[in-house]
Formats: sequence, C-alpha cells, structure tokens
Amino acid sequence: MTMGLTAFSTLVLVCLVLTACAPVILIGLWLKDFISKQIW
Amino acid sequence: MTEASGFALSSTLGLTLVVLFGLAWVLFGWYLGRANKTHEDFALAGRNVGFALASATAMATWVTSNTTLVAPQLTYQFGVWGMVGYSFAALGLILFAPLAARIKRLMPNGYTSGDFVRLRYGQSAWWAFILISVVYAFGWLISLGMAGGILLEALSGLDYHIGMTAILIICVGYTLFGGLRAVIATDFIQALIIILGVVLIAWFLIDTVSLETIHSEVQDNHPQLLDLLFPAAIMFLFNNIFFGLGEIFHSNVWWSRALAFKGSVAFKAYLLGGVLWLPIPIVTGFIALAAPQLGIFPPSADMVGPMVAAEVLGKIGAVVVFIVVFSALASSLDSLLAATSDLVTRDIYHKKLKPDAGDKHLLRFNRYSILGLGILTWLFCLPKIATLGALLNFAGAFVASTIFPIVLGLYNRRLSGRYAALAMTLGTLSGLAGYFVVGFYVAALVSCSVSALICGLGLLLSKHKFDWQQLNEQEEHSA
Repeated sequence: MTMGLTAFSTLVLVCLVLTACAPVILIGLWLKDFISKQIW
Repeated sequence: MTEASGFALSSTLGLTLVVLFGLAWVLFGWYLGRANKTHEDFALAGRNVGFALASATAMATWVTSNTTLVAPQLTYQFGVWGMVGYSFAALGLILFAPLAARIKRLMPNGYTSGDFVRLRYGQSAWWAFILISVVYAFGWLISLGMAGGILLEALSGLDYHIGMTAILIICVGYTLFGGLRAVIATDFIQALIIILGVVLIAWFLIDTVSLETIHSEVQDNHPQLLDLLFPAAIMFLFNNIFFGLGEIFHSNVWWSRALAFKGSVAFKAYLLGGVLWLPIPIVTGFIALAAPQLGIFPPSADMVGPMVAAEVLGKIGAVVVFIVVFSALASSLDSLLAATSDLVTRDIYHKKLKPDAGDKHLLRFNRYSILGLGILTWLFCLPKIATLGALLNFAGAFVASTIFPIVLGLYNRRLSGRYAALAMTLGTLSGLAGYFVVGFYVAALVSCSVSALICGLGLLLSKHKFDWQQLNEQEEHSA
C-alpha cells in the first residue's frame, strides 16, 4: 500500500503551515511575558 | 552548487559565518551571565523561567542534528515512515509535561534527575542510572560535535575537524559564561531562526520542484519510500517513539529545565514545545525525497538535507541551511553541556566526593566541568566514528530502559530500588543484544520491553512503600 499524492501533499502542506505558525506564537508569548515582567 | 570548487559556499564564507555567530552567542552569554550570583542561578537560572522562554527552549533543544540532518537521512532510507516516525518523537515532550509538573511539586529543591534516582531508589539504581546518563550524554554530545563538522564540510568544503572544533568552542564559551540562563535565552532566538529557515527552505523547494514531481519521481523509481507497509520502517516508527520517551524521561537536560521553570509553567511549556515540534521533522524530512529528482546521491546519507537545499536555493539556500543547522546544533549542544555538567557537579562531585563544598566552590566546579566535557567531546569527535543516526540509535538501547523506572518512580510508591536497578541494567543489555543481533531499529523497543517486564514483576512482588517527603531534600551550604 503506497501513499497517494493527495495524502502526501496534504501531510507536507499542513505540517508546513503549522511550523510557520510557531514563530508567531513564540513571539506573542514573549511579548506577553515582557509586558507583565514575567520573562525570568 | 554555485562555487567552482563544487561546494555551495566558499570555505571563507563558512568560516566567517561561524566566527560571527560564535562572537554573537558568546557575548550574549557573557551579558546574561552577569546576573548569576549563586550556583542555583548558574545551574537552574534562578528557578524562575517564564512561559515564552520555557516553551521555546523545550522546542529548540529537541530540534537537534536529529531533526535537521537525521530526519532527512531517515526519510531518504525509510521514506514516509522515516519522517512520520521522527515526528512521533514529539510524544516525548508532550508526555513529559505532566511528569515535569510532578517533578517540580515533589522536588522543589532538586537539581538533577540523578537527585531523584538517588533519593527514590538508592545507590545501586543510581549507579545504573548515572552510567546510562553518561553514555547517552556523550553519545549525543559526540553526534552533535560530529554534525557540526559534517555540516561545514558538506556546505563549504571546510575540513571536518575545523567545523567540529569551532562549534564546540562556541557552545562551551557561552555556556561557561552564562550557565542555564544563557542556554535558555539563546534557545529562544535559535528556535525562531530554525523555524523560519526550515519554512523558507521547504517553501522554495515546493515552489521549484513541486510536490507532484517529487511524488511521481519517488513512486516511479523508489516506490518502497512511499510504502506504508515497509516493515523495517514501521519497526523504526515504534522504536523511535520509545527512544524519544527514554531520551526525555531520563535526561537531566529536561529535568533541569522542569526544575528551572516558574511554578505552574512546566506543564504547559512542555506541552506547547511538543506541539510546536511535531510538524518540523516532516518539513525537514520531505526535503530528502527530492534528492533523486535533483540527481543528488550524497556520499553519506546524513548530508542529504543540506545538499538538496543547497542545490535548490543556491548560495542563499546554503547560507540558510548553514545558519539553521548551526542554530539547531548549538541549541542542543549548550543544553547538554549545561545539564551534564550539573550531573557531574551535583551527583558525583557534591554528593559523592565533596559533601561540604560551598556555593562558590560548586559554581566554580560547574564551570570546570563544562570545560572538561567540551575537551572530552572534542577528543571523541576527532575520529569520525559512525553516521549520526547509527550513533544515536546505539544510545536508544540505554535510555529506553529508564522509561518505566522513571514514570513508576514518580507515580507509584511500590517499585523498589532493587527492581529499578535490575530493570535498567537488564533492559539496557537486552537492547544492546537487539541492536547487534537484529538491527538499530529494535534496540529501544527491546530495551523498554524487558525493563517494563521487570518493573511489572517488581510491582507484583514488592511490599515497599516509598514516602514522597524523602524527595524534598533540604540544602545545607557552608558558603
């Protein structure tokens, strides 16, 4: 049983979008910690 | 390839990037290190790390040479299951989240994972655990040092020994100056660099070659790489889950962070770090499937990722790959140096050799340990002994044996030290037998199964009832 094109493309593209969201989340959290003086 | 020499970057540009990044990290480490007044500040960043830095350090530390060099290598060898199997290592971070919260609650004054095993299980289990930890830490340190050399060599033709030496000097430098505070702060920046770089490379690859072309080329010429029933690859998937769990559950890299995070931060930071990490090996791994299409047949499988990116994006791609892998290596190497030096300082030096050592003395010794570990790693890296994947999977036989003793030790009063020691020792030996007799892809699986069996027996036969209060060890420092 081999993986079809649709499944392969969906897997890669979904993972790419999720990965691209990570910096936004991390910077948002850092700003929140920075404003509330909770970084350290 | 853009250079006449056949390499994507010139040796001069490669070395310039290393020197610039090196200077920046060491200066940043020195700047952050000024806040370290006590050994606790140096080893555990004052036990006060906030959510953003905590999540980023969990994610960035787990993005290592594994993710940037070995995930493409395994995809090249095992196909789709190679990258999916690698992404399952995120389970280690996600499942460690509740454990981290419990560690913080049970051991508010703890320093290391060794502290836990010593207090919970006693001396014989502690010896087995320390041996496993040391083998794993050196396996990982050596694989990271080697990866630095391989990366520079693959991209710029710079001698392996120069690249390997450079990355070790840089990481030892800023960890020495800044301790865990510098490690965590640099991890945040490195996490951002890694993610943005990986996304950029994947995006350009899809834009240039297209997913359709990659899929049809692989289907026509290497159909086994898309085979969902590829037996060795499925075995690898399960093996990698247990390997990842063993790595995280036992290693002081993750315990010291759990103890360094602010009160309620540990659980959510590990959970978020794991979720953010999950898709990354698939993004880095699929890059390798484009290799045959591009006519790339790397001399060593762990060079496939950097070579594909450099081929598709030319010089800029090579610079991006270089910075991404360099950041990934640094974010793990510094963590490992800090955590292993804590084990040496706290578990071996302070608890075994010099129980009356004062705070300043321990702080000084911790720095010497970082330096010593750096030199030892460098010596082991001098001969290029194995491919990165093989070296790491050898360590799987050791670490997977600790999963059940750690989890049961944290949640169940009944498992005694004798059974925990036996589970770790026999689990490791069986895992090694599996590694040599069957293959690397079963080492962790066998090790974890045998260890689980012995732990199960221990729970049935033991009448031991551990008092959780014993884990809350109070510190006495003379000066």
